[in-house]
Amino acid sequence: MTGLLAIGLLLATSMAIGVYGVRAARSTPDFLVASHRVKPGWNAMAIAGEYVSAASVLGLAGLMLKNGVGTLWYAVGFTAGYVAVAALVAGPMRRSGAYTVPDFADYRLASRTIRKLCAVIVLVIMWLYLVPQFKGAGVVLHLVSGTPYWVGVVLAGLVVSVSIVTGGMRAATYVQGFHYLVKLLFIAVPAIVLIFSAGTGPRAEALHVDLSDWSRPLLDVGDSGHPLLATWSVLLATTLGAVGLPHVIMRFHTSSTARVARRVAVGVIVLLGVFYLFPAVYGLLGRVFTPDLVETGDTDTVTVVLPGAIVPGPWGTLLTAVVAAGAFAAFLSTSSGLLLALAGGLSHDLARTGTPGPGLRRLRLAVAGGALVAVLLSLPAASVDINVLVGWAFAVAASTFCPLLVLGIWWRGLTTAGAAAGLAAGVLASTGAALASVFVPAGPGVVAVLLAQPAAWTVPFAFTVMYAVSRVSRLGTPPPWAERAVLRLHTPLRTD
Amino acid sequence: MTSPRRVRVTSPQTRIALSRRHRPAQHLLPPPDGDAADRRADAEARKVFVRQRRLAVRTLVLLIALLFGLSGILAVSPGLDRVTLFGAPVSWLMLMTGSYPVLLVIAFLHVRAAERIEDGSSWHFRESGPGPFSGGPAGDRPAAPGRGQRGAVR
Repeated sequence: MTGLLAIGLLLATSMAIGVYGVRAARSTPDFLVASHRVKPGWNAMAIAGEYVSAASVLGLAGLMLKNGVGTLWYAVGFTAGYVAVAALVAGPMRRSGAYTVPDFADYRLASRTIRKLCAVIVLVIMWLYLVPQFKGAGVVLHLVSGTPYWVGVVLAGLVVSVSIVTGGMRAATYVQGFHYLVKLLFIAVPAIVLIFSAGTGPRAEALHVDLSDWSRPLLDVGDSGHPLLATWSVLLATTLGAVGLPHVIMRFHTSSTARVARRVAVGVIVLLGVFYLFPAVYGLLGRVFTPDLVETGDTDTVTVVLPGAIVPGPWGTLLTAVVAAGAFAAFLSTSSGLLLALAGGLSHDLARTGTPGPGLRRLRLAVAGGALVAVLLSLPAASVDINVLVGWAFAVAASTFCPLLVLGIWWRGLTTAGAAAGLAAGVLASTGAALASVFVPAGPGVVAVLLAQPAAWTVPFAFTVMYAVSRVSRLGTPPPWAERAVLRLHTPLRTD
Repeated sequence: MTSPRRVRVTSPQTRIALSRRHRPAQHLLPPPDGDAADRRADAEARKVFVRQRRLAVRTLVLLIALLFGLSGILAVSPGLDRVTLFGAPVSWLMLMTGSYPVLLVIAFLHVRAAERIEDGSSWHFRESGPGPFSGGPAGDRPAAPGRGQRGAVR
């Protein structure tokens, strides 16, 4: 009951903050990117709040309990992604004036085919990313109130779409900034309490290194025997995936200038680094107090279950409620950002017929439609690891939009044919490998790693295809204004 | 109480510009009668671009060295699992806390260097004309510099 109360309180506060932002959300720029009027501090908090998803709050500790300490490389990669974002895309993307990746493709190549192809890839990435968020909501609600899994999923879809349909990005920015604080406090404070109340014996046991693979600070896929390859593949996917994530790109337009956008990215690194110190506590203590979760397969619930297992009585219930509210904040803010990007792709890029229409209404319809599909996809996904799905979303982004943006921003020779070939190769290779790793038992060895963590080969593959096809002049040459289009991305405006 | 709905007022030029949003970006072509100042501006922009690209490559190399280096060290020296500091294995501490400060330093140095390159450049595109940022309706075209709208600032 306490858990439900805490989640209810969180929802009510979020709605109140959202309503504060509604008044300003009247046009598409307001709705999508808050018309560049968000202060840098809030903006960095909102980006971090949106980025720290159920994968970080629930999935990281869960996968760590299941597979070992090496899972924390995901957190390192998630953070390192913002170094790549600051260095490669933040400033130029802000200057391009493109709200979405398809917009950027249009700016750089003026090809409607590429635009549509990009929009389809946006849908793939966003749905891959949304499903684990809704799964998290279903699992947490089930834990704190006993409702069936599907109730949480449906409720999550409803809450998120209603709050976006009414408020858009401007509202979402403040709500997400607030959610970063909620997540940090609601994970950090219980973590510290748990460390102290665990007792000396269990604390030492949690830090004890045994001879199993669990204690090795490297990631492995099953028992493939190639932990360094798997680790590097995950690092490539998470670091470069952040560069290509549509909802991350969209965020830089809430900054007033390219310079501010870059600085905001640095601020995000600080906020993420602080947050990621804490999920490890739940993974380490979970191994001592709730090892049975590994047998039942519910490792994603360890963050919520652990406080009750360590602290008895009402205090334990309270801590559980706090953590549950933090987890709810995680999936709420992430899924609102994801849904917005998804809706942008659906209505802005795919459905545009060239006739001016009621843009906002179509956007809102797209939000509802996108949420509905995500809910339907999440219903059978109860037993899939949150972090595995999110890892694939990053791998697809790293193999498609990362090459497109990086080459588009830093190389004037990119052609339409090259971009199309690279995008197609990247999306087919990465989703194909992920699907194959589910349906084909590969056994131990390099192949298992390269299927389950495909970024190690799909990212270089996509880059190579995009570059090589662009160089074949028989398939088209760069547009005559390509050089100007590239230079403009790096030339400071007077307002910078 | 209901506030009145805002009505957007746009100039004829804005409407014309927005109506051709799917035409190729002709505005990015250099003017056919480009004069010496135009050519100088282009040369300056190219110089900034090359410097920024060199900086981006340097930052990426540092980032790869950190991530692959740290994981590589942990892979080749399992002995670090048995050395403890404050009761925790050193290898775990390196993984859990070691990279974040270095990531921050790399990003900070990059941003500072990138801003210095921009400060050192004396030519600027002027943000002007119709575009999504100058109050036009839901435009999806970048705010484009018009012909001859660039010039020396300093």
